[in-house]
Amino acid sequence: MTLIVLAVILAALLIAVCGKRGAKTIATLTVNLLIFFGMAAAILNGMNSILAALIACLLICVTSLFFNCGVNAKSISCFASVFCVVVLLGAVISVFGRGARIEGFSFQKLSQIAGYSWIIDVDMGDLTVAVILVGLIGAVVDTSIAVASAQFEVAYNNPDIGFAELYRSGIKVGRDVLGTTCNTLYFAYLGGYMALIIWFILYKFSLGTVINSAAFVETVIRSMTSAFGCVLIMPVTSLFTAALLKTKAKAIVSIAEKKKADLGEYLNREPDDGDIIDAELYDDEKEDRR
Amino acid sequence: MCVFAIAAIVFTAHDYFLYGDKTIAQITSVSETEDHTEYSSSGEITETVYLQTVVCRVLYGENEGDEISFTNLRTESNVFDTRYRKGDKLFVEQNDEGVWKVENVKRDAYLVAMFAVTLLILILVGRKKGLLAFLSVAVNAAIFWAGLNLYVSGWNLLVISIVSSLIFTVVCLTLIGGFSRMTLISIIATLVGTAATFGIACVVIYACGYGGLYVEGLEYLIIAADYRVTFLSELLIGGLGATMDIAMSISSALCELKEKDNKITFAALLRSGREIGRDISGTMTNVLLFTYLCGGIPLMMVIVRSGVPMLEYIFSNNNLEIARFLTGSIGIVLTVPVSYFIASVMLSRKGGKRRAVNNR
Repeated sequence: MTLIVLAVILAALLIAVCGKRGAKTIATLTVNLLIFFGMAAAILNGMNSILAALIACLLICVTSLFFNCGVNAKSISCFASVFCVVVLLGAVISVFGRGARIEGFSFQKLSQIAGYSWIIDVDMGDLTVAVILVGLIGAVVDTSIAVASAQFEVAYNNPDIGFAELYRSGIKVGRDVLGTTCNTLYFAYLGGYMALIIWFILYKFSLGTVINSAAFVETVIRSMTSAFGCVLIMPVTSLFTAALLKTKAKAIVSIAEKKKADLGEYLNREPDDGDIIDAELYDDEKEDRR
Repeated sequence: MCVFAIAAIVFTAHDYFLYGDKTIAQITSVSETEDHTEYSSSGEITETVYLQTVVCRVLYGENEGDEISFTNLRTESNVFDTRYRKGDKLFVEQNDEGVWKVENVKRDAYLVAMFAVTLLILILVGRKKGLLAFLSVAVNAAIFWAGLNLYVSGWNLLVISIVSSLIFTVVCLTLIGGFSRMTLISIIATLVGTAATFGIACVVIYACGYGGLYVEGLEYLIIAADYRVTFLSELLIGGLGATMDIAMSISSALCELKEKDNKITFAALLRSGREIGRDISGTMTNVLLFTYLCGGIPLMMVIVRSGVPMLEYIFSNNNLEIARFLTGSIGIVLTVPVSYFIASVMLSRKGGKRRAVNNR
């Protein structure tokens, strides 16, 4: 019941604040939820967790990039760079996660699984890697889009810009969003770890015990790999986008034309229902153009 | 810097003396034999249980240099057991009968290596901003730790969470944005947005009497804690980062617009803010979706494998993760109008004052 009410509030707010874009967001969220539970179902039916996670990541990229931004040089470059970073991150998480033996349930989580069967025939080592990987894909895609769009704007406004300069402008934008993206993930994780930290303090664990405990090391590896992924995607996307834009100058031209078309469409469109300010502006703009 | 990172990793790999009287051993060989087959409660799933005979050499402690061995039963999926591999370092202890058993795995070297690698790439790619991001995480962790210590000494957890949210917001946004009007706008917007979201969440949750919310299934459950208050505090802290992100993006963009064109009107600021908000809120909600829901997968595996149908599970118990995601997303969408409204008001008013002064 609580969930349904919260979901209805979210949907109403999305439509009220974001209009048509909000409706699109609701559609994307629904598709992503389906992908997510599809992945879970595939693992339950015996698919290797890491493979399932990689496929899920690809599908998530397809929905968030091609569905939201259309198929163009920008989304293709984002797609390629996100894929490279995900594979690399998978390797890093495998090395650290498996080495540190953080798989399975730590004894602090015992109360959650008590009463259920522990014979599940799903490799928890692979599953841990898969969980961390899919958990940070959203943030990686987000950063990638921010970097690539900014580079596009730069290239569109200065068609003569060189490869190196274009790469640097991508990195610069990436640095600007880095702090806030890290915060988003960090607090989301921190919220979940609150009870764990209370546990450590309440039962007076020594520092040595804490930094060797599976639960704490898992939290740190999760948060650190997220930051790692968000940083790593910056140079990769900058490189790919700069390369794509410089080798395929035609792409820019087509994008520039599309932008002009979009702008025209925006100025000529009908105002949304209930969009009071928009409607006024719409009239203003029309008058300006006359 | 690289040298320093490597030095730190090598140090923690050999920091045995820090653990005082504990005995540390490294596995030199592991041999496995099939022990028996175990069935799940429904009887449909089987797993082979292996008996591991582990031989280790003691690296540190009274018996330094000795070879010790112990046995360990492990399942294939390792839900609540450990599969030991050659090269693992372990804390071991000997009981009164002289039998060795594992107390814990030594994980600190991996922890420090993860820290070092992340910090290194943050500074290499992100430079000053990367360092600041790391610094803000470290400062927040310290505040969090201090706050939870107060809880253990008897304070109300919700009060602590509200106060520390205030501090988090000010510290994080100031570290990212410096002392500027933009920072002030985003702090106010974050606080208003978070307060409104938290208010909505509390009203909904209490009005529905926690219907459908299985708060007893919270991770890391502590018997002494009030689950509901713990859950609400987690909701508050969890959505804070996303709210800050939205507030910061909108206020920095609007400040940029104001700087480029000082005569920009209130309505124009409002419209631009809304357009930016529409651009970023969609991807942000998706970020939260995956960040939250993924944490629930391992538990979902265990529960569904125990015979609970997946759909039934999704709509019944898994809902703590979904509740977190929904509240966080409401926070994101709610902060969009809050931010652009506050930014537009503050920017057009302050700009007006300055112009008036100039005219005089």
